[in-house]
Amino acid sequence: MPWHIQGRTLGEGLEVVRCDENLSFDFAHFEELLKNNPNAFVSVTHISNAFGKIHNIKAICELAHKYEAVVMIDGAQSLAHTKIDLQDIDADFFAISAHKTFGPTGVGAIYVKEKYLKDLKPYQTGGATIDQVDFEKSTLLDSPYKFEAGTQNIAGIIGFAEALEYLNHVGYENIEAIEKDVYHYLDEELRKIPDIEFYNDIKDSIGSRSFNIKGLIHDDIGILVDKMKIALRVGHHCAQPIMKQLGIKGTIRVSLAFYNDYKDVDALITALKKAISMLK
Amino acid sequence: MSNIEARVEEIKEDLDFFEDELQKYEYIIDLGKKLEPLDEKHKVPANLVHGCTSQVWLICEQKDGKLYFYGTSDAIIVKGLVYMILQIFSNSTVEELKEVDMDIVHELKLAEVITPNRQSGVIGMIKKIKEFAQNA
Repeated sequence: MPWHIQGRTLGEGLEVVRCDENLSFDFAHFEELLKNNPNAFVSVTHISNAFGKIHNIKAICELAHKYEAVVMIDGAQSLAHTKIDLQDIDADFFAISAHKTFGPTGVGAIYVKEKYLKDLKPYQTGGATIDQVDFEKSTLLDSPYKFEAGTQNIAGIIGFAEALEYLNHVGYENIEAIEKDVYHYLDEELRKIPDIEFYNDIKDSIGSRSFNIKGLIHDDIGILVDKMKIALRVGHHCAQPIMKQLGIKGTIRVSLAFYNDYKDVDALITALKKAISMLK
Repeated sequence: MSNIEARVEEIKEDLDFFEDELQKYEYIIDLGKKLEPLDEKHKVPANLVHGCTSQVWLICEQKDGKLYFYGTSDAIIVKGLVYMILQIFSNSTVEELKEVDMDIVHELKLAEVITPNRQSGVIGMIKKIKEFAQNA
């Protein structure tokens, strides 16, 4: 969407890296695109919101930098699940979102490599961003002030900081170990459900598991399990292009965090089986 | 009480019978299973109902001064809602349909059962039915 708003269309300033049948990032195609598009700006998600697929962003940055491309990583889905070392990854930009990381809504953060800060223009101006202004010209303060127009979301920022403290308190080692374990259990239990269809394996995935039940519409399942107090999301998950590529309208998506346990998975499976039996 | 109001009352009574939400859904699903299949040739974009999160097709046939509606959906629960709407409005005269001035979603207490998105789908179906009546 942001590229379309800029007036870029497929083949005209916008290229899309392919994925294979397991939804893995196609590095060969990526390299071909980098060769054909010098000074590219690469935007890629760290973990796919629709399928939980983890992209090897370190390798993506390394390859992109070889062709002097700049890389922006969307880490909105990853910060709650995995430790992120930006020095090691060497990303140029990395965005995070509070409400996907146990924090309040309406606040996020972006990491920008220092060398890009000076030339980066704010998308909006306002109070506390200005150095000098008169009718001829105006100059902005240095970063971060030039990016922080007007009154900040103070409560949101304090809440976000607390959420990050909480994550550090729990510890990423614990988070990763618990999630991996429960995620594997979820996959095992889901696979026992007849007529279930997956679109990727869980080798390089975490957090979300997306699937369909053959012959049923995901919407119906979503409504019924909701009534059984199971919160999951059904639909295209704002990822319509990949749904189109897979020839489906959407999926049933289960999302796990470190506070979920085997009992939660068991309750989900019971609700799913009940919903399926009602619909078939 | 008009024919349409009487049919709404009947469905309301049936729905009110179930206190448990899941049982209500089971009932709606069973209604959907009773829906006559719609010929594939009618499943075209022109017959789609706007406002539905799932696909709903609706067609109209005029016979002996009355309008008859046929429809279906790709989602099973929505099929049940389609069945209810067809039960209420099909087999009515144009005048009866034009006179309808009731909030069906409110009358059937559908807000307690279905999400606002699906409520707007039901409203979309009723709107299309009224359009058929206006143009008949």
